[in-house]
Amino acid sequence: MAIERLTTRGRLVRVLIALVGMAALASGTLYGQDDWFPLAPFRMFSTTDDPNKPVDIARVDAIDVTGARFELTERNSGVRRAEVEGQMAALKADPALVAAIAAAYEQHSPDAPELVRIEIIVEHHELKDGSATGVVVDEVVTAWDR
Amino acid sequence: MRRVAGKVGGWFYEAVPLGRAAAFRTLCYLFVVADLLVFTNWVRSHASVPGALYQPLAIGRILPLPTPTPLLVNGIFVALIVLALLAATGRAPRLLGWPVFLLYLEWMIIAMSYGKVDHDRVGFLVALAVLPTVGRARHGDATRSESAGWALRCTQIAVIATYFLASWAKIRFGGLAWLGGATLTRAVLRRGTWAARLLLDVPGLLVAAQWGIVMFELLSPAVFFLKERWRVWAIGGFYLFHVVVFSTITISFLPHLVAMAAFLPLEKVRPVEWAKRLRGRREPVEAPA
Repeated sequence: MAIERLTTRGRLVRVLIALVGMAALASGTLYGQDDWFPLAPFRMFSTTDDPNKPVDIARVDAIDVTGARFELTERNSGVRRAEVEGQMAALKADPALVAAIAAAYEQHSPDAPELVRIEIIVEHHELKDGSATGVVVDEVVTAWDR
Repeated sequence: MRRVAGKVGGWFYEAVPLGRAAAFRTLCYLFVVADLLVFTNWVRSHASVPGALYQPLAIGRILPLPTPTPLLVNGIFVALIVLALLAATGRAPRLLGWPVFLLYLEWMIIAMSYGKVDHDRVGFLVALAVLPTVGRARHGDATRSESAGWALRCTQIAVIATYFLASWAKIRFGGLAWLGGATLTRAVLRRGTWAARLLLDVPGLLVAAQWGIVMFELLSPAVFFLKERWRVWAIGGFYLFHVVVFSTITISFLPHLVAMAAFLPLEKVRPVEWAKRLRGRREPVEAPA
């Protein structure tokens, strides 16, 4: 069967591009941070959690004018939980940013009752030897009121 | 010395059938459409997230890319779907392939600019970046091509780098303590299925799984040294790993799984041909009188 070959130059250029790409990916993981995307380090699940300290998981709760309390999710507000966790420091420092989440919810669900309060909550799940004891403490870290 | 360099260099463009590149190309461009419509449809909601939550990536500050507005996000959405559908046919591979790559890259940059960066995209982005360089490739064409070989090899390298470098990142950010830590416990508490929650109660199981994951990631480049037949089986094992991950902590890594198909003899998958043959059998062509 016939083989379509590359020219010598075509080969050289391609090998070089591949080597540079490999070096770029490796340096992204060795020295980069998340905002280097697409060369960000491959840090999925790379933080270490102490098996005997509570793990912290963020949650966003909303209360609307009818008094109903529910969780804000990617589905109803377009804001992902990991994004809230990623911006936790900024949200704590400037609660006005929490209002941006309310605005996102209202654009997303325009017919839903108006929100009166949003709470950014951190759930502390207690661990013992790496297993969950079932004890969960909710801490409201910042909130926004209309 | 020259011979060794030639052999190593040759590995980067080892010829593969053009039909394989054609099938992989169709798969990738169809996935772009599915990704926009289903899997990363949440990116569209960023259009209505106020600019205050926009945290541009380094690339968005250097270039400088605009803060997403509904017009920009929806414009990219529509343009990408149309261009990717056309590109999936294999026509005008460069004219359609380059814009699809650039628009999808911008789509991903928007996706990752709100405080969370995903790590399952690199292999697929590399695939979109290299596919236009293959040029014309027809489905079913058994002609072997070095340019097609290079494109698939680059994608394979990016896929394996995703595993291999993930173990480096764990050591860099989590330290060696990661192996005995409670990271998987946290993952299960965060987004575990009921099946995973059962595993929480088995002492030591999740720590053993952490050791297993790091070993697997460190050893993953070994697939390049396997004979083709065994390599396909090994890749099947990789897919199985993701089935387990998905059924426990609902992390799908879908674009990575699509890119990983660059390892498979895709030229043998001919759904259009099969459908034609099936129809041909049902409606026998009348012999000319």
